[in-house]
Amino acid sequence: MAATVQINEFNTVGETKTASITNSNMGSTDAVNLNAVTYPIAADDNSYEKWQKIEVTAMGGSSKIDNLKTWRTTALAAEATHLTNARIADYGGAEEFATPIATASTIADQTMPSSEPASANLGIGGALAGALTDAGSSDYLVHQIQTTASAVAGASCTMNYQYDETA
Amino acid sequence: MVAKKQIVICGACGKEFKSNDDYLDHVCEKTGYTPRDIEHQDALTGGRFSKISAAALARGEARKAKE
Repeated sequence: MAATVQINEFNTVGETKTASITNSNMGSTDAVNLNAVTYPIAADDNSYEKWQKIEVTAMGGSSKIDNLKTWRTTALAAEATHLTNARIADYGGAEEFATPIATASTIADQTMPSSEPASANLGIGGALAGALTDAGSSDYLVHQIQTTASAVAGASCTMNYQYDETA
Repeated sequence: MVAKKQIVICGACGKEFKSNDDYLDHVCEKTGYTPRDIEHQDALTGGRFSKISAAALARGEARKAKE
């Protein structure tokens, strides 16, 4: 047996949780699994923030889940940046949920890594060295796409969420 | 302090729940398993989750061996 792990997203003022999301499409509405064609990000605008967590729903006999890492692969389109609260140093601790916004995020202020980070960049219990020994969730991962007036349309990227598991 | 009421939606079958425990205990109509079951994630990922899980275990055990 092994732990069961999923990615959840939280939306709207009510912090509605959609469990086990299937994509992280970024766009001009605060919604899970949004259609980026229907809700494009206009040049010089930002996407709505994404507020997501990694959740362990069962340990499955394992003793520990830790070393959470998140990063994006595949380049963004020109004049777009992908920002996040995830970082490997000077971690800001566990963020309290706030209704996702499309103005420039003050929480997501670090560049999203485009390759696997050298060490954990998303915390558990407010610390990068944190671990789950029972069912529970990570800290919030907050991320946002920001564009300039020169931004060009279209990028399809892959979000990576990784954890280590100890038997 | 009053606990915040939060709706939890199963991303697979779309059912809404008033608590995370209720969500975790439900048998998903799409997968036939509860979200606590590894088969639930396997059903949603076309079997990829078991490979992801095995890789996570290999990384964790490798780190443990180094410590």
